[in-house]
Amino acid sequence: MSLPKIKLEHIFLLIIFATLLHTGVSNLWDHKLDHDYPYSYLAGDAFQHWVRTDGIKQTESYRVRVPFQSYGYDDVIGDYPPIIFHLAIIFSDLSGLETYDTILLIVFLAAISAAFLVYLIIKDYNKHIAIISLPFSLLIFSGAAYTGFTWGHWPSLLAQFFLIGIVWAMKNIDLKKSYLLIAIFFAATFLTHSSEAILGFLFIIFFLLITLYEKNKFKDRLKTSIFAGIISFIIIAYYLFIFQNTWAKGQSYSFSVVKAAGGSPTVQMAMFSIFAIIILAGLIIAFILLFQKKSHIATTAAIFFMIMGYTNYIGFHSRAFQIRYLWPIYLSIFIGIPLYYGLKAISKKWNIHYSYVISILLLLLLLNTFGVASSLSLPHYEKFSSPGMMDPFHWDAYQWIDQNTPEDAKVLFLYGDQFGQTNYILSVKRVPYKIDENDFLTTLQTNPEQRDYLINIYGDNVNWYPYWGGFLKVNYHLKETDEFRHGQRFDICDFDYYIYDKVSRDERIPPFNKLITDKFRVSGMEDVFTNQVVGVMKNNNRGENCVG
Amino acid sequence: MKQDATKLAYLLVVLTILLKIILKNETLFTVIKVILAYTWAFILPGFLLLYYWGDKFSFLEKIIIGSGLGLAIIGTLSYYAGIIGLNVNFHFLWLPLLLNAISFYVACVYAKKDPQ
Repeated sequence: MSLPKIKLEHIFLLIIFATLLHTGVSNLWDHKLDHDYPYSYLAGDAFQHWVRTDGIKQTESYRVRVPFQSYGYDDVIGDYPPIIFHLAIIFSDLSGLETYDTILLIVFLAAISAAFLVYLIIKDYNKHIAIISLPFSLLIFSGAAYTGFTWGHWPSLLAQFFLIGIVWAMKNIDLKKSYLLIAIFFAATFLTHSSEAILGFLFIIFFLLITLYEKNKFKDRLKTSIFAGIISFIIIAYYLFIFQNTWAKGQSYSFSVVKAAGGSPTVQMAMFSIFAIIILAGLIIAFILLFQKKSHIATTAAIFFMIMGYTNYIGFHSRAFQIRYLWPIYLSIFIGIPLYYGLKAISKKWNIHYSYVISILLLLLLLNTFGVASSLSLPHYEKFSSPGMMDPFHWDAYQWIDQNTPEDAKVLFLYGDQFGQTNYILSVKRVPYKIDENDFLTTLQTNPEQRDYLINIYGDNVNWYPYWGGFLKVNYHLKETDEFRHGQRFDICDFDYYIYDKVSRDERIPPFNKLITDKFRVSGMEDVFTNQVVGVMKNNNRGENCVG
Repeated sequence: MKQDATKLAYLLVVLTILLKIILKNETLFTVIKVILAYTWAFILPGFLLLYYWGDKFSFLEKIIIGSGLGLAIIGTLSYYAGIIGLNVNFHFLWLPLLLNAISFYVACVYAKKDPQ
């Protein structure tokens, strides 16, 4: 076995890969892959996706959701686009990592692969530009774009890898049976995060219109696209029916203009600082190429994704902002084109080595080497590492409950700093009830012997909990009952287990938890799990007075 | 195909070394398991399927697009396999194996042909 010939390009790509892995995953994850609890989960959405994944493991398929996610109903249709959860389970079973690690690792690797895929697409247009453009992808791991990873926009990010796969497949549309490639990527996009499939569909239309404009094999390409569409439809038909009766009903299109993503940081063009001007120059050149009928799919795709990033102005809501998480990848060619043509105009003897040097310099700049980027107010990578919202103390408590209580145990969360995050408390893997904090504190101050409190039930509360009501008929539990309406008062003694925090960022609050749990003890409840931070109590006389 | 197999073997060794350096707090055993699992389940099926188009795609293209195809196909099949009643907790055993076997067959048949 002889050593394969090593090209400069391979070394360059390995450097970029190592940098992306180091900055994106390794720094964030404390340079480990295997963690003891969900690590670097910075928002509830992250827990939501992981809980869905473990729910599927428990139900052994995604025909129905796991009951604890859905107020205890055991027949709620698995309605979220499913691919990412299944991938996380298979990767976990094969690698030995936990699903909370594999689901995020897949997203990171997909995003890194997306950067290299765009590199390949650009390379087909111009290798110099591809080389110069690639380091700009590093900015997916900086600022607001990074929250796509840490705040749990994972299905969207994975779907965008497949979306770029559609672009690549369209690039190869003239190949025999290319419809298979288009269909596979389109179906996967839909089954991962359906809004990206709409973008995929629009891109195919956009591409065909350009083909028509350039009078370039339009009929053949249209035929291939239609064939791909038919195959995709067959693949997604089952889930499409579910989608139509759940998400499409709950989140139907309505025109509105939103300028920032509510609740999470928004990637804005201004964040790219001076690079925004270069991007604008690249965009203008791409349009000129388009009008001169000299465009390449690499430039038209970049135009498309730039425009799509602004569809928040025409009613695409937060979906437009999700596209922006990968703008540094999509728009990287707009950095490469002006730089390459500009530098080539200066140096007539430009060769590939110069492009590598420029690329590495750009990489070092974006890494903020010697603080150059920060001193010039340029966008750059900043090292970020965080264990996230979970900690070993709460994790141990949740694990204890998962492993030691009946699946239908009624669990009440008293006060805890993180308990306000609905999806976080689903980590307990039991139907979670949570006491209203304000009512809890007020009641304990005014009448500590009162039994009824404002208590709400929580779950993965989307699409009214759909269930099959017959062949091709979907009914909705939450449209049929008021039982779980929030804002009702319930007996605090009517629960099996109670979880509470012993410490808090606000030191005035733990005494309230202590006050009520002391009453619980007097009434006969027992401490079944405790550590420095969290306590769990068991109520052996459910329904009897526990605060008198 | 033999050449590509050699390249893939070297790539996996290089990636193992690279990942162990970058993920300095991780054990070598875990790094190897993760690389092999990802390659087996998500890269190899798509990588081999791309031989259907003969020599049209470079090794690098086959690796990157192959991972996209692998993720797409395995994820889709796993979902529907679950729907028809095959326990998701055992998919890791047969699904990548089945897909790799089919892809390998495709690769063997088409590796030297160019459908264009």
